[in-house]
Amino acid sequence: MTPIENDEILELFLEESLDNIGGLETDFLDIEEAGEDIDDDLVNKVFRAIHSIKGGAGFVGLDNIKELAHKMENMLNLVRNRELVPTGDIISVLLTGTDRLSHLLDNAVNSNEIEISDILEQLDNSLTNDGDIPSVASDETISIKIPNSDEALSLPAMDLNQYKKGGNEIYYATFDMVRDIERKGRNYLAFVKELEDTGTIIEQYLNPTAVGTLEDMGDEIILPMSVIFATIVGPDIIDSIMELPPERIFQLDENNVLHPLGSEDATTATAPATPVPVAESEPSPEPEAAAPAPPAPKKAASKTKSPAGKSSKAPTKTPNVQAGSLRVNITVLDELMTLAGELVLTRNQLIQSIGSNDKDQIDKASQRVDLVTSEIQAAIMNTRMQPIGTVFNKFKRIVHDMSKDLNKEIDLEIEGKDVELDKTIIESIADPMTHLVRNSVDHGIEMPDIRRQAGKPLPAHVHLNAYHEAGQVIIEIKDDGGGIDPKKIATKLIEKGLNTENEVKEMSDSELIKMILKPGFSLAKEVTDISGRGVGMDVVNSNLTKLGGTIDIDSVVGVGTTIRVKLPLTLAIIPSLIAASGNERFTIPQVNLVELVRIPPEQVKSRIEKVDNASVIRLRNELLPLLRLNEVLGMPKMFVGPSGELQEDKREIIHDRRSKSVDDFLTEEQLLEQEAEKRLQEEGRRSSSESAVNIIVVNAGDINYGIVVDSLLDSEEIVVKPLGYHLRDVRAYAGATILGDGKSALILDIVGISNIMSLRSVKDNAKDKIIAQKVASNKHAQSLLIVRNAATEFFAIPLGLISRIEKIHTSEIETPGGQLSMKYRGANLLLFKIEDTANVGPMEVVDWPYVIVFQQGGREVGIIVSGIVDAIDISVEIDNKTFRQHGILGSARIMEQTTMLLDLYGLVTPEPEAAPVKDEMLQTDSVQQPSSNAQSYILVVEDSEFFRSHFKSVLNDAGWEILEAEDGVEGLKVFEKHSADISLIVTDIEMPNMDGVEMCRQLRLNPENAELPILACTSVAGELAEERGFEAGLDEYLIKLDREQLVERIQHYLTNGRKSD
Amino acid sequence: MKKAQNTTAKELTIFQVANISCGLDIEDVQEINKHFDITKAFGSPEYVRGIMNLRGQIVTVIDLRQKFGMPMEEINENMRIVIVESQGENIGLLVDRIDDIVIADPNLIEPPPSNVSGVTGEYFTGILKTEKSLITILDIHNLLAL
Repeated sequence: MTPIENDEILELFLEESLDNIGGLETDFLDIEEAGEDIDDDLVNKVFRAIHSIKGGAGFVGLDNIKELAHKMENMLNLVRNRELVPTGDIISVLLTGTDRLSHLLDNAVNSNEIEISDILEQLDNSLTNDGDIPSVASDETISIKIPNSDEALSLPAMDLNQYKKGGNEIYYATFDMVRDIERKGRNYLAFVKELEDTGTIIEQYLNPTAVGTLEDMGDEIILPMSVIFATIVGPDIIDSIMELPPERIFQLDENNVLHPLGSEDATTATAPATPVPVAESEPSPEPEAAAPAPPAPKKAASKTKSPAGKSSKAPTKTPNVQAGSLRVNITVLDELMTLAGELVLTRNQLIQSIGSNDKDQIDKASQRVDLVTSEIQAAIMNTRMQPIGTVFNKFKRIVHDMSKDLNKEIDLEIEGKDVELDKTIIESIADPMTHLVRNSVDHGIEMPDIRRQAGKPLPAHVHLNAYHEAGQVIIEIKDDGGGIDPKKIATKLIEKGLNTENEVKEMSDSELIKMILKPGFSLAKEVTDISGRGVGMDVVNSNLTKLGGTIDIDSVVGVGTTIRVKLPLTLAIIPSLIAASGNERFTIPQVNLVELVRIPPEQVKSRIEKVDNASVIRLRNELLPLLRLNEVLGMPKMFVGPSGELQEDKREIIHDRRSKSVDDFLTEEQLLEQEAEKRLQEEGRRSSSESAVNIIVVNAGDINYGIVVDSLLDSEEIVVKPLGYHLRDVRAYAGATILGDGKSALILDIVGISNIMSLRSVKDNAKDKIIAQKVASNKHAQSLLIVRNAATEFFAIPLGLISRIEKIHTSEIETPGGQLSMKYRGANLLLFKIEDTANVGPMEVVDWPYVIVFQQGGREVGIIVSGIVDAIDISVEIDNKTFRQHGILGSARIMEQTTMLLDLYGLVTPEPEAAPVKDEMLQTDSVQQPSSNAQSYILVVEDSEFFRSHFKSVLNDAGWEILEAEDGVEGLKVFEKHSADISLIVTDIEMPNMDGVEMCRQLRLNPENAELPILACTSVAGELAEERGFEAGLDEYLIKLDREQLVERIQHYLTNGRKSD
Repeated sequence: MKKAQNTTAKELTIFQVANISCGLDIEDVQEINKHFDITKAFGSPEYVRGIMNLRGQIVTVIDLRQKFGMPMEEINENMRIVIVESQGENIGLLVDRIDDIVIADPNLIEPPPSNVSGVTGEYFTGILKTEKSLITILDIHNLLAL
């Protein structure tokens, strides 16, 4: 055919073809899965896609593409006609064909030079190898008698059948080169091309015997040209397409006999003369020439719609990712257009109001700008959102190929394909995800015989799922393979010298499993072709962290592994924190942010400690490595000048920078460390005496650390801009942005910084013996908010229970019906005063009291206090006798002050008259379980002494005896000893050594404990965490300190057992 | 030999960096501005003065003084940032002052010596001799190479 001549057409073809080919892989795999049970719609869809590629390629002269598509089409046709079972081998060849096809399409312009004979051969071979196909030998011909003549045409039977099965009509038309072409001002080549647009010319020839003479100028044809033309165009309009009188067009019927257009014989569905089986799916029984003709006309009738249908159907499939273009839903574009219009109007409004200096109008206009901008932002974001299916779909192929290679039987299930993520994220998660899936298949899933021995189902399952949770997208890769054995990891860690034996001993199972994310760790026994090529989970981890994602691994030996990846929806505009160090402002992406800690001057010394050369901060039960931003970046040291402004100490820094640039990399780090040490000492002195320390606690994947900054400024949504190439290698920066004031600021790369400083979590530092001891002494530390009510009376509230703290003006407090309340977030918030319930001094009179907001029974309530004193982590002895009363749990000496511990839930519920809870419970108990109650215990596993004593008092009050344990490990021990007497367990989740979920899982491993109710009591729980808990066998999550709920649920479970809910 | 051989006259932007008079083909210059809100990028090569916001685009600013191995200067009134394009992005060159625009006769451009006032010759494509001074013509490609 003609070579490619029109870029636009070629481009259109390529675009359409890439769309068509996009979904093929998945479809083929689905076809294979269906096996003999062929899904006609699916096969037809694939067939159409390849057919369109073939047609288009022929049209633009890409012969190789056409050829390859043609062979694939042939094969599919056989599948469609049930003459070929789509076995794994067949599909594999088709998949390879698809790969080659897409390769050809990628290099369309040169595709005719690319060698494809091998794949063509493969396709041919698999056709012939597959034995029993009555393959129509290509040299067989069908002879067709030409109407009004004695001549007969010989056509390749294969071609003819092919076209017929493809839903084509076959026409024979004669036209006159002189009258129909020349005299109408047409050009033969153009004419042929027009025809090729709508179908395929099977054969064309000049009929010399029919050539008349120039003399007989009647109606005779002067220079007859005949074509055999296959097209999906129906007989009703074929004449207008060909621009020929209908009588010169003939249609081929079932029996390969030509009938004039419009005659009965041709248009009816089947030729009545020969009752050939009509069913479309009937396999053609004989390869004999004329006999097996499928009911072409009937098919044609249904297919005539497809020229329109085809083009609209194909693109709905997965949009292609590779190209630089993106398909955008037209409604989104319209929306953008409307918004753009809106923006223009608003701008005009703004200009006008600025011109007239009308402040009111300016305010209004700027509000509108704000609104429109966020809407435009949302709409633009929308255009970038892509379904994660584009990534997921390719795993079908990977799992398919890998399970073949590894001789494993694996079933891949995919869920949540429609979950959308930003284009950039979709592009960057492909590799890490591939690695995770490969890992599951290669390492996770066992060989079939091992599975059989273990009594596990075949095929094995790998389950991919994506879903939204809390503004993030969670991707799960779950396999039912062998799981990760923490013991093996421990051995490996020691073997590789990554950790010492003692360190490993102290790690919990989940900590050990997390170690696979560390650099230098690969658990593959041997390096296979598929994994273990040096790219380990650490790369996956750091890549995902770079995207603001996190990895969570859950694995049970023998049961399987679940890997959860959390990702933000978008990267282009991110919420971030703006902090300053020296004169410079930096932004830190919110996703990396864990918390902000401010250490008051007097505590700096006690809370910031030095372990070796690194400084750490003790935060609750963890020790966090601490970095100073100015040291990380080699910023000049700042000091407060005599007049109070910041000045820089230039000399030293210039010297340092210089010397660094000539040193090699390792020394640079050492230098930095030394420098850091020196400064920390100096600054430690300085800050301890002068100023508070602001610490931004950030998460860099597997490690949290603190960044010390000079000040915290603001949080802003920032637009991420790329850095120039001079700065691209600076690992401390992830990009830059432009802040609200128009100045540029750098975005810190939290992972990069931790790499520069070669941070390791303090726990796996060799020195953590000392730390462990320190932590141990601090084990029962409790985060408490200290508040003031009467001027000299202090109260403590467990921080974990508080939702928010609001500063309000007294005028906001209303008292309808004697009940204090305030308007809060569009609803009424009930308020309580401490002295209303508890017998304490009245609240001092202040204009701006604080409201402590917390959850109670599914709604929010508030407690009014006059002032906030502090938030501290402290380990205290709780005296739960002296001040014990309704609303007060007890007291403790905190910072030299007798401080009363508030029972938030007690405060907001009326004092029970003669403790009805207790009575009621006792009654129920005595009725239902009179004897068992006496000897049955409730095991309370809780690391905080405070809460243990709380539980003890609550449960004892309700008439139950309790046993106590400080963590999961101890809990298991206690349980082992008294398992016969323990009828229920209440456990905390977050605990050292072993958490509540793990303990529960271990307990459930023993079938004897299947009926034991295990309740979790926690102050914070996310949906995800709860789900994990339920998976481990927890029965219910309760809120700590909600006494009524606790008693009620325990009673419920004791009465009804586990499964009654 | 890098001696310029085309006969058409070149327009050069002439600016001063320390004691060196530099010339840059005016076609390479996108714009010259006086926008000094430069954010320092600590941890970058010393000759990177920082980044700035050029109408919504982040532009790296190269301090030519430091690139030439001379001490850095505080920003002053005479300084300018010459925006050039390189590898598809805009880059700012911080210079001490803009002097002139001259039309240079290519025949007067000579190949650069191995160094100019101690600055390696690889940063220059040639030297233009004028009555008053010697103008070194910058090789943008080498100058901005990492």
